[in-house]
Amino acid sequence: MIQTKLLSNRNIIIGTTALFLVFLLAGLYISTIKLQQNLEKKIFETSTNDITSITHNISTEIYRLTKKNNALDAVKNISHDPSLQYTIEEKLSMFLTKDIKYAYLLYRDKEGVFRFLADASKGSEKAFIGQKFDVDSTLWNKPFRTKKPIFLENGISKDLSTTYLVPIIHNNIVSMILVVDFSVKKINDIEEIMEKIRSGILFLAFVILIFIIFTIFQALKYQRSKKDVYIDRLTKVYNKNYLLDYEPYMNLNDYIICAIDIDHFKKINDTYGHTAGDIVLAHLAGVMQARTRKNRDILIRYGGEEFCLLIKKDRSSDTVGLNLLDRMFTTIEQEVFEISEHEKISITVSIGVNLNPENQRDFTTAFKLADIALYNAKNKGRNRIEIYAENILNSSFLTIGEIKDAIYEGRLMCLYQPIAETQTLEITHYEALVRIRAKDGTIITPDKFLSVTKGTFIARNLTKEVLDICYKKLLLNHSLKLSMNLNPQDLTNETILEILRIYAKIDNFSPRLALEIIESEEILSYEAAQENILMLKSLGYQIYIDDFGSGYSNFIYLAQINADAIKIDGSIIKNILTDRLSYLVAKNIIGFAKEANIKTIAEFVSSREIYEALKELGVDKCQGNYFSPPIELR
Amino acid sequence: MKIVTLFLLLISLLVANDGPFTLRKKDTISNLEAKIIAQIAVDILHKDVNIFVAGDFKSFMVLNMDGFRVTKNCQEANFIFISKENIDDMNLCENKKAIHFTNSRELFNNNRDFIGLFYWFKSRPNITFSSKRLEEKVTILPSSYGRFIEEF
Repeated sequence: MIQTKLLSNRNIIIGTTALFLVFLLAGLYISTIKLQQNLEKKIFETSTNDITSITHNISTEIYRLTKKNNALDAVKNISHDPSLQYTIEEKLSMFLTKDIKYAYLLYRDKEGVFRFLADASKGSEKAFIGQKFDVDSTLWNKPFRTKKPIFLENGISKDLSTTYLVPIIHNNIVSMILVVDFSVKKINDIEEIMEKIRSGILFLAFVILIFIIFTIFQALKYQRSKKDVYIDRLTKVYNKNYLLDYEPYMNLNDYIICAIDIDHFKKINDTYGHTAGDIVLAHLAGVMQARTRKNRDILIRYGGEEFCLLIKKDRSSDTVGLNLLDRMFTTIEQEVFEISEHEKISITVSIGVNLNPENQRDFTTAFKLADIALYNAKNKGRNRIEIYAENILNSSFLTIGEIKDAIYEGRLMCLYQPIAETQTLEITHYEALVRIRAKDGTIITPDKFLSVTKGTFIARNLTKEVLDICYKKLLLNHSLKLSMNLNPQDLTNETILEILRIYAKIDNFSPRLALEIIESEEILSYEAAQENILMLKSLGYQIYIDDFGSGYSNFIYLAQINADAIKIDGSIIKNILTDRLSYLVAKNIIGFAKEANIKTIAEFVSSREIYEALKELGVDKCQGNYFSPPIELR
Repeated sequence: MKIVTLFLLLISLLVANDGPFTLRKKDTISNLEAKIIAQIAVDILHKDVNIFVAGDFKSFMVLNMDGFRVTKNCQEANFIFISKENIDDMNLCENKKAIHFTNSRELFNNNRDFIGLFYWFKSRPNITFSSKRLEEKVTILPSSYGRFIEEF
């Protein structure tokens, strides 16, 4: 689909570019001609400006000399007055230069024949008074009609280029015309300048054209390289780069956003090797791609084994999109993945869906909700599709901005839930549980904001704040012991590790602070995280594995990180009286921990009956509302 | 209207389509003169023209047209054209009956045999006919030539 899409895009780009080039060339050609014409006109005007000005001055002078006469008398006056004629011819002779070949005064007789009144030429070139002059165009009559000067181009003569005719008006009648014949030299000079300008314009046009072609070529090259950058080499679907570039233009109204993650992908890598993992990823991408609709849905490898699927919404309902997703889910479940010549495996995926991304301000926020739904799907046992319930978000989830504000405004706080020895009920320590105090004073529990911060820098800031709160509390009360939660990501964050190193230097501080780490594949994936856990242990901190049994329950885990205690997940504890399986899981965890000399702590102990059952199973410590809800410590 | 007619004559000489005397931009001055003079000859004589040219006769010879012939013998001609470069040839041509035409102002002014003159003035073609000489020769010009006739 992508290839077709890219190909069709490429054709469109080439077609559009070709069309653009044709229009561009046509525009460039027309504007060059237009520019040349305008320039020619301007240059001609400029270069003849002095002559036309002198011509007008002389015509005014001739008028001044004859202004006492009417039109007919003015002609007669000049004809019969040799001194006036001489004066006029003297003035006309001022014209004669290398650029002006002839300058003379003409009138029209009763028959309409042009005759000379005065002529600046000398010798055989000089016309006598009244000499007939055959003009070669009816345009010579135009100044008599319009009373305005005109330029005429000479068609026949090879000596003359242009003629300038200026009417001399007596009593609103054109009595005579002053004629100035430009020699071809003048025009040759202009032509020479024009030729240079023409060459300049052509060169400029050529340079512009080359520049434009180069720019288009570069743009196409850029587009091509961008396509390479957009496609994930392994899976041949779009990668995150595409999403980053496409995101600003994405209309959230148009899509259902899905976050898709391969279940237990690490196990595949660990068991069969990374090559097998790559094969699975590529195969899965192919399966999903085949289930998407051409030119409608977009599949993106979001990172690692996580994919983002954008399903184009059907206007009438979400059913089409969800059906598509369901078919894809089923297909994946049934698909056989051949990871080597002899080995075939099946995989499952967990999918989080955000049906209404348009309710979020941007894609990142919208995708985060799909990711939260994916997180829920994982927590509920994987291999399922979870749809994010929008009303939950709107009614109770805090936004990143609100959480950030709470941190900066000092509204982050901790409540402390006691943890007691099962046998003696003596409180050994308290777990610091983060809360946000709303502006109206109400307390907001972490289920309303922790999932929102997942994977953001806010999560790290939250940890730092809780560390600070615990630090102050422990300094105030030297007999107090606390435990607090750390995210797996915190274990590789140098800022947090440095804070813990500094705190450890305080006398008897680290033994009074236990760090509860949620069991996660991430810890096992990162060697650095394991090393840092051991480092923290060496500093004196106790390490607890939190929510053990909820997700990636792995006893290797315990061996690798050498935990001091494990906290059995609340979902197991609360069901041990009603669910046989939960009871057996709890029993086995406790049994194993005893063998491994690891303390056990049971969370969510909400009744005497559960407490008694746990006591019987031999759990070391208990925590829950049966003993005390989280409280403030003074 | 008269002026228009005058122009039409000149222009028709200059731009008539594909006639033997059609003027073209590539024409040399001699060609152009030859075409104009030939047209005048045709318009004056109203019959076959046998022209004797004292000058660049080749320009006239290329005007390939029925009823228009360049003669080598002055006596056979009914239209004689003496160019200003060949005024001396005038002495070799004794034919009083023929129409005389020249492009030499000097010859035209001094020899009353010449009824008309074609000349370049201010780089433009000019035609002049003498009304009295036309009368003497009993030559009637088409009305369109009125603009070129001067009273002398």
